[in-house]
Amino acid sequence: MAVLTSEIIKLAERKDTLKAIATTNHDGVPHITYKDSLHIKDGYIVFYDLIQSSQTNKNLVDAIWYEKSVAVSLLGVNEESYQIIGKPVKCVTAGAEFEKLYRELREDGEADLNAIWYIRPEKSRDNSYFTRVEYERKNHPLIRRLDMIQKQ
Amino acid sequence: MVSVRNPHWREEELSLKEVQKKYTDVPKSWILKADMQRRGITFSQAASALADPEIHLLNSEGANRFRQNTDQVPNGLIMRDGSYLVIGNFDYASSQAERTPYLIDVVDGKLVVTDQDEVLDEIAGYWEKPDFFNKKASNGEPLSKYIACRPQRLEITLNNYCHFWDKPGEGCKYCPMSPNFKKSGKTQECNELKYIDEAFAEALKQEGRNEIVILTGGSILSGEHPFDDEVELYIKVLKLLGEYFEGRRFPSQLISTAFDERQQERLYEETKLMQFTPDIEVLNKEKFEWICPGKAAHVGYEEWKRRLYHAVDVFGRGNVTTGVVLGVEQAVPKGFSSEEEAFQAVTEEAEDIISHGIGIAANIWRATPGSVFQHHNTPSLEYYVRTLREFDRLQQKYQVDPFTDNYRRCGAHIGLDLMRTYQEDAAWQY
Repeated sequence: MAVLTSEIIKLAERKDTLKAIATTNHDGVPHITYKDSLHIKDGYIVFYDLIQSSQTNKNLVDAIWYEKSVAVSLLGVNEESYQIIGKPVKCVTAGAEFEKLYRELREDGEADLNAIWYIRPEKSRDNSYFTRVEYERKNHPLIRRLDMIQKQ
Repeated sequence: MVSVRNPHWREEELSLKEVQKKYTDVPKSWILKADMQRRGITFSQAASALADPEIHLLNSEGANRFRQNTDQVPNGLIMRDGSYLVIGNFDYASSQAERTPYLIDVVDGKLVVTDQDEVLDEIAGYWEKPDFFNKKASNGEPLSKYIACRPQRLEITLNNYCHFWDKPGEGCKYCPMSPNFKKSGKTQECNELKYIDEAFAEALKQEGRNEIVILTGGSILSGEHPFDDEVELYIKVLKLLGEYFEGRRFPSQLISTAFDERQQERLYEETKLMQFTPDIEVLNKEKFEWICPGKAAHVGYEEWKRRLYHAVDVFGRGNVTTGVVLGVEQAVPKGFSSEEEAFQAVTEEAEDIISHGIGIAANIWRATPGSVFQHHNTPSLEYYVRTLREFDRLQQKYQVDPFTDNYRRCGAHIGLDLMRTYQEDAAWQY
């Protein structure tokens, strides 16, 4: 089964979807930021990093160097949510692809483009609250408060 | 097929994998990249076929003062992490190489780097050429004759001959630039500024391409005081380039000899130059005097350092760096006889320089055809990894940020790739 399902792809491309990327620095300190510039393209999560000194960029560099995982979380307006775990595999800092995007971003008034990151997804899951509750009730039926399961 | 001088070289030093296993605090891909610079690379037929003269920056195009070879091979690689590998700076010995070069090949449709038939990593691609390389100056010459480039920078070489070579035996022994110039039969040392200006105006039209412009060239000793004519030339060009930008400074770097205080102040006051990089080349007085006799005679090692430190007062902390040809201090017969001795001496000297707020931009020495040292042996991979790692530690200790020489604006100084993960925002120091 594809890691990036059609539901994930649709949600990622909606303008009203909240998109976050979680990375860690070399010492393991987490860093989570909301990024509208996360997209899905050709089976990869593609992230446009717009600031050369950004912590996310530093952490992605550390991740590609040491083969570490990063997490992307999507949250839709109807509370649908997915988490994707993957590894950055390519960083584009120059060339025709870079310049084309740079021009597009400049047309939209963006200040700069630092890098285009390609993250190869390795696993994903439906992370919405209702899906997680359903999962827990099915797989861990006795992990409940006593008052919740007592006879009425 | 590249022939190798010493067929037993693999038995005489730690292998790539052994070094990667020993130094786990630096990235494996970074160690591989350092070794690609050290050993050199060649291209398979399939990899060469992917180099498109319409798209890519090839060795045969543009003036490269360090090379005699004009093979139609890429001038540089782009690595998966977005950093660049500069391969066009110096020739690799295609016959009698010191060690077996890595092979850039195509495997399963992917561009890869291999050694002994093992795929070690994927390569993201070749450097692309800028739009202005397809255009001509008003004199009909290609604009690439006047400004060279890397993926994100423009390079203007003002003087293609170094006058430290005027007196026999005084040229820097690792450098092929002036021997190549003499061998080429060319006589015009400097390009006309008019055409440099035309090339620069055209280069600026390409949005998203350029981060910085660097000026460099061979030293010119003439003038009322030594180097006055050279400084005058740089000032003329910097004024011309400065006209294109608002503000007091623009992203620019001058890589040159160590100008004196008055000359430095002129450069700072009369132009919009941002960064000054007088390359000291060798981090040891005695070895410097042997390897760079012209620099020693006309400036001197201690004076070079004194001028470097003065440059921090002129250009500001963070705006002064110095290049070194790391490894050349072990050339025979007068270099350090052991890597341990070289490591101790070089890192001690590096600390002195870095502690003054000056970044060290270290190149990995290759015994380049055409240079006096062309048949010399270069140090082991472990020496480079160990030394560059120590430079990095010192740089973090003294909080120096030589960003103009980094993975993007330059690409030749692999040690400085490690800056990419430095934590810089004080509010986020964990």
